[in-house]
Amino acid sequence: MVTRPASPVMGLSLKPGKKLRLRFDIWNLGTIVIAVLASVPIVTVIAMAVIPNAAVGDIWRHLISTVLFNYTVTTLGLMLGVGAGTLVIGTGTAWLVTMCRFPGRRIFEWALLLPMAVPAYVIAYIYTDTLEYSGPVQSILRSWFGWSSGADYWFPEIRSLSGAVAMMTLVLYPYVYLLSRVAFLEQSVCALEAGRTLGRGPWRNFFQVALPLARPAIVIGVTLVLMETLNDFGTVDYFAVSTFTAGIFDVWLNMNSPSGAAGLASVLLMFVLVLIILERHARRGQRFHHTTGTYKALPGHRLSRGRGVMASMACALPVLLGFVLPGAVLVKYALIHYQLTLDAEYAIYTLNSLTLSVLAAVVAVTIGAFMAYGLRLSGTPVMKALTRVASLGYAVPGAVLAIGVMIPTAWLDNLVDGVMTETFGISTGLLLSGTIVALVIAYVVRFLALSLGTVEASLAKITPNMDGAARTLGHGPFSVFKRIHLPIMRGSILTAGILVFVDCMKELPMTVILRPFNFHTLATFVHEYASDELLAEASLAALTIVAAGILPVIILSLTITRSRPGYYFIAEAKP
Amino acid sequence: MISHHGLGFEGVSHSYNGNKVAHGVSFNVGAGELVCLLGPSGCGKTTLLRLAAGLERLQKGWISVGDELVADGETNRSIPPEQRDVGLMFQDYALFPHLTIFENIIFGLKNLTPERRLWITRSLKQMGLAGLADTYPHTLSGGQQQRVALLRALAPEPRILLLDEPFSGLDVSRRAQIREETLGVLKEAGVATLMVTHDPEEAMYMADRILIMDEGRIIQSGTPLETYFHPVNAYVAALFGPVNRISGSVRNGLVSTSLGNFDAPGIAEGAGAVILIRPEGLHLAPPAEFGAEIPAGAKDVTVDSARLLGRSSHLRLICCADGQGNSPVILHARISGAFLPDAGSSVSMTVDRNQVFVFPAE
Repeated sequence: MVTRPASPVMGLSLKPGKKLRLRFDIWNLGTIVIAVLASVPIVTVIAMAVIPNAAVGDIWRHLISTVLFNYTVTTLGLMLGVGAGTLVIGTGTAWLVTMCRFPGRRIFEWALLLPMAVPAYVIAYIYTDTLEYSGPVQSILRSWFGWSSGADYWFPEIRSLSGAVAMMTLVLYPYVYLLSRVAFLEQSVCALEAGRTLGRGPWRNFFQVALPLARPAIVIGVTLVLMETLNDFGTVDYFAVSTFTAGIFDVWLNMNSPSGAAGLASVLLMFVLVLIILERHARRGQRFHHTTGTYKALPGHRLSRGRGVMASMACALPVLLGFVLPGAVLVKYALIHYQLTLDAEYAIYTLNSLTLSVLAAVVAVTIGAFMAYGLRLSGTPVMKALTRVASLGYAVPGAVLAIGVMIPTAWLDNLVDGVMTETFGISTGLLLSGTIVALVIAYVVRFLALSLGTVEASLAKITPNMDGAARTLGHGPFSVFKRIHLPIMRGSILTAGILVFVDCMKELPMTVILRPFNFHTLATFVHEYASDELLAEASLAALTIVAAGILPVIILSLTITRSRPGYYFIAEAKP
Repeated sequence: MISHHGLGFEGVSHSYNGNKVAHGVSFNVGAGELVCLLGPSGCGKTTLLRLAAGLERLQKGWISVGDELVADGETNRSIPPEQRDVGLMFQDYALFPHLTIFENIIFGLKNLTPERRLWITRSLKQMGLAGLADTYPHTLSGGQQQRVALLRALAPEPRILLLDEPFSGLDVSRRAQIREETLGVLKEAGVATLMVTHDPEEAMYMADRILIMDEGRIIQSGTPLETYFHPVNAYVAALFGPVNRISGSVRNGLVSTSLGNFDAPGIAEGAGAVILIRPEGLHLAPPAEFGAEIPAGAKDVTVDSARLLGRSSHLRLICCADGQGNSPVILHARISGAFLPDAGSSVSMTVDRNQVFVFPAE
């Protein structure tokens, strides 16, 4: 027997263990700080709306008596329309592409994601330009039928609530498509075949087996769509549809009432809260709905020629209307008018957009990776809850976040400026609120969930046993990070960065509110020009945004083909 | 006693989320010895491996590797896993998916000497992995991955090798062959090995010594022969497969049952006792075979059913329905080869006393 030595024998101090514990504290502390900072905007908005003072009472009375009802009805109408539209188009095309065989299916698999690249405001400008009275469609109709004025015929008004529903449906349905397609792919074919043997035809099988199994994923998709719907500012502003987001801008910029805007924002937050609860509930349901079992090649119903053509058309229509047509219009305008865009300081706006987006992406990925690691090292319930709080920004409309960032940063700037002027006689001016710092903060708060989720998913692929194996093979924690974690996660970190980058390139509402004076990004430039009926002049900039938006589409379509169990090496490496 | 240049556990206790998974565990693995920790799933075996490797913080007791104290629960002293020189092979192999087979195997080497390179090439060849050095783990079958994981753990020539259920991920049909190969490699390397398994056959095949664990305690330590033929309690006896159980009480140092009297050493007079008989401890012969010598103490029993399992036959027997108020006893017997008397027929049965174990009733 080895006897216990009375004095230290190994000359090895306890440092490794102690250090380990200290590091855990840094993770915890960091996550707490991030969660607190990230929830400042939301807390600010709610506090401004509910903390009673004379002004708040008046504002509420005013809001209730004037706009509140109208905003509520319009917002609900928009949500209902977009929700229903994306649900039908998204699940329908996903089912066709996943379960049936028809001409062009392999192209539609990824092409159906393309409309995601087009921001709703861009498509809104394009369709207005195309469908308005002086646009090409109505002009052609008039010349064909010999109508002389708008009094001679009826044509749907694109700048309306239903127009906004159509625009947003066209670019947001890919969320539902993406998630329901993954759900259909992951469904055990056995469950579907069991349905068939138990006497269900393909149609009844879809409604009674496949759809209920995919329901959690579909609900998540629709809630994400609705969050984006609430976030939209460009379309509703352009179409003069009075939703809450449009209202916040109106009250903030035109009536110059931050408390009023905060009041509206807090009502909007209640909508968001409902969506978050729905989404969380669905995610919990997903765990039980996941039918693990045998996976094999999907059945692939071969459709008859007539039905095949119909299926191709059903899949082609959303792609045509949501991507090809607007893209073609933009390309046409850009080819003719690119010089106008270049003259309008296109280069500077592009540089601004790139700088902001890269900065935000780097910060968001760094913080996201930090939190994902913290969760992995000490995944206590408190840490998990804090992480969820920190990444709540994805659900909060940009306008709300912007107000929530603007008010505290301005307060802090004034405080610092006051102190500095008093003690040193130097005025520091606006350090945060009037600079791109506030914008980057807002971007990071809103898109943190994106980077966190991506890094978390790739970290989950590195099993704790891999860490253990590397440690017992003589590698310390840092070496394990460098030689195991980093190489495996490199791709995902890049993906996370690209996703955040592209969303920042497209971002409009927060940029409009928080941008420094006379500072334009591609998005605000396009918005300003298009609002002044100068779409053609800004087309190159709009095209740039769409081109950037295609990047995540490529990434997503690559991940989705790999998502099927059995494809990816991790799934196969399991005994 | 065993030499101590292996692994030593002294008084190790460990709790996991409030559950005590180890209670004062002490044992040694000598140099070159292969010891199996046998016990049902979730009885704390894997935790002991993780403690030995340093992946889990020791709470109480101490652990030594070679002559070195690597973890001491009292002073909270703990050498980190990367400095322990201990190899661990995980149940899921935990191969690094972004490295090739060769890169995986040399991951733990400080420097790749020509001698080690030769060893790797030779071992890969021996294990039928010769052409696969530059492929990635996901292209390998489960058995191939298992062998790579073993080579990876052995490559740095650790002082101790820990194996966590090394064969559980394999097809039953491949298991025997890989088991044999693994044993060959381990014996050739001569490394002190602690292996965890819940499969008694696997433990008996691999181990020089078996440690039997139950609820965080080691309840018996011995050679496969000792643990099989001299189990310390009913739990150990039943671990090696289903057994026939008959209860009785002790009179004059004997338990008297309808199958006869059995010695009951160490059990108090009048106390209850349980008798365990392995199915292979019941020997059967057709009574009608006149001329064949019926052994002394043979008993006629009725065949309820007989089924062929391949290499052996399983019989369900009804015994001792003597019509004198004794309720019949149902027994299960396992006879090698095909032995399939008709249901309802009578056979004569003798009991192999080597496979009968008497314990106090619980």
